[in-house]
Amino acid sequence: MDEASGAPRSSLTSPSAVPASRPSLQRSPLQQTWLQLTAAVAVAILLLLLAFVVWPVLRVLATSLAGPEGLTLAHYAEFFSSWRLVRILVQSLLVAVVSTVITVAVALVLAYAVTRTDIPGKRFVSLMSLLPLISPPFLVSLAFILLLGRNGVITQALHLDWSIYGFTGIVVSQVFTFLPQAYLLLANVLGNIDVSLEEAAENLGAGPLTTLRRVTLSLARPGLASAALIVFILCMTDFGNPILIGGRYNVLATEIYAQVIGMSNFAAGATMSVVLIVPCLVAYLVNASWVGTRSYVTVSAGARAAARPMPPALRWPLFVLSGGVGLFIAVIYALIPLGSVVRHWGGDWSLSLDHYAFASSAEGAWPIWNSVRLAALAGTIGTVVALVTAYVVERTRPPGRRAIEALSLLPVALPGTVIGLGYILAFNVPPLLLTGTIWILVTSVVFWKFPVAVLAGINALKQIDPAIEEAAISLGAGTVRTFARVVLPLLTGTAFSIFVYFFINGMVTVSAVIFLIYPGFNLGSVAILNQVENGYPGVACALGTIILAIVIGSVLLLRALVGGDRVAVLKL
Amino acid sequence: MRISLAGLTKRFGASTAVDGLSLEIGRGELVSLVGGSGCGKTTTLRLIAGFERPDAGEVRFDDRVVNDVAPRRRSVGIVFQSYALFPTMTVAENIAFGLRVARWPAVRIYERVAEMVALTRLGGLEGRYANQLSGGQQQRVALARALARRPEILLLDEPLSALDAKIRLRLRGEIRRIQQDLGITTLYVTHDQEEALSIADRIAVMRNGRIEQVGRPEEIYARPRTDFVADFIGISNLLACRVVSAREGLVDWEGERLRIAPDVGRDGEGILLALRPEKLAVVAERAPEDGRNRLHGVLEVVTFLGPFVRLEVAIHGRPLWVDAPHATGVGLERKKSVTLAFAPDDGVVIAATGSSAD
Repeated sequence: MDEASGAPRSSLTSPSAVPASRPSLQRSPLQQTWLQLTAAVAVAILLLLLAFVVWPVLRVLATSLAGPEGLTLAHYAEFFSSWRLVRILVQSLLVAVVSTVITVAVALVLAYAVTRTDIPGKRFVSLMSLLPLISPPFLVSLAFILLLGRNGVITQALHLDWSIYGFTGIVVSQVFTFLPQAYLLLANVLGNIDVSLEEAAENLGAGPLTTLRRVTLSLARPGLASAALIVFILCMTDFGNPILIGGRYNVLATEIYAQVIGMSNFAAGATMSVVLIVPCLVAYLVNASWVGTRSYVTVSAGARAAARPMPPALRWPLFVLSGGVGLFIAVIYALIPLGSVVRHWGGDWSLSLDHYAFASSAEGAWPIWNSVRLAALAGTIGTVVALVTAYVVERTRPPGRRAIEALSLLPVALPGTVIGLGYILAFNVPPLLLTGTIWILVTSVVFWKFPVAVLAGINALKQIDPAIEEAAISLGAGTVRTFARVVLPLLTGTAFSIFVYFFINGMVTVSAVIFLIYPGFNLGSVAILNQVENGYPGVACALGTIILAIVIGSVLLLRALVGGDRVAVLKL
Repeated sequence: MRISLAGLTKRFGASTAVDGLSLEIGRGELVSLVGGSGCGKTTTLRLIAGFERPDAGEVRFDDRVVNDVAPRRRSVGIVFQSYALFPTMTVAENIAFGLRVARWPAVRIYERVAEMVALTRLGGLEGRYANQLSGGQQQRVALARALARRPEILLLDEPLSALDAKIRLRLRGEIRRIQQDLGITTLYVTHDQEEALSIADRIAVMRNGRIEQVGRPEEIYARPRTDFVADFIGISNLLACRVVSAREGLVDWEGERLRIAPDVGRDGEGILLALRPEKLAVVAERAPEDGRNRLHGVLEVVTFLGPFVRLEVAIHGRPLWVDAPHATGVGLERKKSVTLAFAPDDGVVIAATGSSAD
């Protein structure tokens, strides 16, 4: 009786308390088992994260510090005394900074135009700015090569002896590749600003420009900082665009690949990886600790987010700019299927489906099938592990939950090349001998892309009022039944979103997996790179078209099956 | 400054938010626009502020038509429902914003901010940010900011709706004091009829984009012209009656003969009789005849409301509300019969529109 009267009170005083950690009405053997089960699950998750996130990074660090006689800083001394390598570091930083500034500026204009104004064509602009999110990251480079490469349409038409390879190519490709991330973040920030704030400024006599500067942008400042830091990490770690369109302009991410795969120089690769991690980690920590606490976006009573009419002097430039960017992205993505049906780009413009025979290499179209297998496995396993992790972190709060949360989010700051190298170093020896199997690819995708999925799960659980679980328990349902009948059904939409996220990444990722593919098991995204390098851009376009079709088709299919609103496209 | 709205109409797509509305607000007057959610009261306010353009009709300040004047040139101060304080600025910076934009000299801005801080009793909070203030303090900052530029019109959009009851009561008095000290023409939008009754010089009751009735609070309360107003302002028992004899003031309700003021309506016509709960009295069953109407019913519910008790009495299966002093409530038992009485003059006759009469 005592316990029975005490239980509801404890649930009132600590609304965030959770079924598993609270004295429940009466503990049945089943519930005891459930408690032990969640504890065991928490331990298992922690072990998985230690094995697949921490261990590979430690292996990279150890390799960079290993000398013939124990620990040494010799590799770092070598790196910083080599002009060539220091120049690569500077080039990496330079290209990342320039790309970041331009990307955030463009994203800001688009997000502002879509969320705060009444320009026509907003839906189109919004849709186009999201397209790169679900495509292989380097298809933009491929499109720019078709436009402005040595055999590009524009290069030929204007008889240019200039081509886009190098710094310019990387920057323009990165801008269009990472636009979605910055756009989504800023659209979210700008879209949640109470329109009354702008109206208040106007009512107090401020003109449109003063309102924009003193109110709207001032409120968006933390969002801008956050977008800039995230895009900086993405550009810094980008592998696909530099390797395709970088020409002789080297960056760290591609140099690591050259050292490891080209020259089997693991020590040099590991040293560069650590050098590459440092700025990414700094950006990540600044974002998490400093920017994260500085959001002005609060939803208050009567707050409204609405588009406002713009004065023509602002409206038309905004329309032209955002419409132009949207149209250009449409052109970029139209070029890929177009390139796949032109017999010989830059030479013979007649149409043909020859490229779809995939005769240029022995593996044919198999890499795409491999990608689908990888994507489906990563999607299934990743969804389960991510949701369980989110539940452990958000609802059961075992002693180590902070550690689990931090380790789950850490991969955001890890370049794909570092993951790839780390996995080779960590998993080519027993007990976890995974090299040469599909599982090393699956785990790399799952754990590298883990942060976004776990955050989505945590956010979804936060939306579910703990009182719902408490209501179920007070109605006599046990913790097990509560989880199965009440919590799980509320998570289906999120589960599908997470599945789609892992599936897309399994289809399109390249930087980590390029280290981990093995003879007889190539992936579609890597095959695209190979075909471009071997001089078959048409075949690359055909592969790209199929991958795009599979990704878009599967997203649409899932949305049709489970209801459109319930499947969201997650982003970093 | 005087505000005149003439035939004001605003449509959003297929729905008409404000439908041919006309209203005069005199110089220095506080008019409260009251109505349920979606009745068009906030849209009316936004039309005056200039955030919406009317599809038809005119907004005039004194005799100047301001339809085409941009919001920032209207000399109107607004307090938003969400306060809309700039979160990146301190209290003082918020109040100074309009003055800075108008390029006042720094010294005058400083003086004016100090003045507004004193007026709204915000002393000591000048350096705080909005998220470091209580709801009531935020509300006062919003008021100070709206008034700093010495606007000639003040618009308040549900200014107290986000606050709890006690603070609401205190701030209501404070807003009224400041408004009267400054003598500023004010439109006060609220859904809370009690707030409207207590603060306004005149009340305009709105429904479906139109004004149902305009008048002084006591007028609106005592003589509601429609069943909607009778029901919305305060609580009313609405009795659907038929006139038996207009000359004698005799009507029929559910087979009961009731006396009302004579010479209302025509014989045989349906009318609504509105009875305020406090106009109904509980009397002893065998009390001597005193010219009042008598109704016999069964007591269903007794609700304790602090200063008085509210009884729900079922008569002919219909519930009537009765507000009675505590003493009357003592000794009454549920499911026992009670007798109610009201004087012929206490009923207010409303032409039957049928909408809420049952």
